[in-house]
Amino acid sequence: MILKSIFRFIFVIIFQVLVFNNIQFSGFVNPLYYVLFILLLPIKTPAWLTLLSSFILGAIIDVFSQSPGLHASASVLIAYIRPTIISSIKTTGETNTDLEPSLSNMGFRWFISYALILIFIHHFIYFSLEVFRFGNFLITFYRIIISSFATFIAIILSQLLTFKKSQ
Amino acid sequence: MLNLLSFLWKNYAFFLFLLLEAISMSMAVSSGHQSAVFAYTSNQIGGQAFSSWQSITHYFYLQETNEQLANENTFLRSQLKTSFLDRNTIVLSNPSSLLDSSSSQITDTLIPAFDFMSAKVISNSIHKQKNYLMLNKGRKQGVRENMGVIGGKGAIGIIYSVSDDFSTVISILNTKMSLSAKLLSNQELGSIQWDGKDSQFAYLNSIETYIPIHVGDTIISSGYSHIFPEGILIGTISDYHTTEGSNTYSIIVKLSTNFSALNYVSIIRNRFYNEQLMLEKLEEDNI
Repeated sequence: MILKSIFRFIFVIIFQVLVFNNIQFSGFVNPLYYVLFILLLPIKTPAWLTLLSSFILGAIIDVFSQSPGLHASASVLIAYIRPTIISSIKTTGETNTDLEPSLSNMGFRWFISYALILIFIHHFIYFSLEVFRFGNFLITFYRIIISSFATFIAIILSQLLTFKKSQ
Repeated sequence: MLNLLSFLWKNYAFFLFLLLEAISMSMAVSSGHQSAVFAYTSNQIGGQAFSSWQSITHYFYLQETNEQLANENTFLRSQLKTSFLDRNTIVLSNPSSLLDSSSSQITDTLIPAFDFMSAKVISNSIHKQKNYLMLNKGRKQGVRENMGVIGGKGAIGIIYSVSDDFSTVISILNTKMSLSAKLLSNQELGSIQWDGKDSQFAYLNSIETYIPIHVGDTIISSGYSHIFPEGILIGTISDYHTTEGSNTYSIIVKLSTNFSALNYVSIIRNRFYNEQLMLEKLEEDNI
């Protein structure tokens, strides 16, 4: 499980920096795919580890996208509220806290609401900080919605590709 | 004391969260030394990664790149001295040099003020509010802060930070950037700024409403910033309107450069940059 997380950590960075940061249609869409790592940390990961790994992940993405602190602060925030979100979404039946809260482990409906909430909060922080002013909030909001949606699609697709029928 | 410790321990996640947020927020709003350190690190680490990635992907863009270079070459050839009819009489300081064909051009009083250096774009973005490009030339190759960067179709940006082997360009598509520009037709000065929306359009500010302008007018660099030579193409006016209570136009400029397809660019070094800057500073001090 730990090895898998470390591997995913490296994988999302490479994918984000080399692939998703180069997607440039319309100039508005910027999927922040690396959020997947934070989403999929095993449920019982200790808080300090979640926070620190998210911070380091965000900081590395920052270094590669020349945006000091933006990704890091958005990532740390969703890492902090993640346990609350996990426990507040109703599950059908028992959840094994050893597991990753992935699509195959938690089911479609649970994962979709979980991913949407965290992605939206993350993007909200990121894009608001990026603009750093409150004028023209509609356009920022539009960017938040579009990019959240793009990230969501990318994450769901990658989850479907690795989908394993749960026992 | 024990109570305090146990309180801290119980809520350690919250305090760790606050600490990490404080660190990243202070990075986000910092300027000056700290952001320079960040820019340098980001430059050197990012540069290495991007340039090895580029060495793979640039094959996919070879045809496009070749076409751009060929077009640029044709344009440059049309700018050669031999393409113009020269009506000036050349006065030679040393008549005997006429016989010696190798030194027959020595009396040219034009001293080249600008050097050009080609560089490859290894990373680029247009979807952010503050967009930067990264180039594969750095301090070792003679790149310094505040040099201009142009592409085949016009101005691109200004060198913002330099590490040993790479440099970061603050592109026109960056809300922090403002570029001194003027209208080609009547030499009126203004400044180009991007509003963070469409990567094809920017705004030309501070042109007053009594000045006649037309859609399609060309916008060029003014040369007053000493970063770009005068007359580098920036774009053309695509639309303009006046706002009530303001005596300047709001001019929308269609940028000539397509920022989403940049491969090779030229870095411009102004040989007299420091000298000109020093003079300007002297003037300011005297006032």
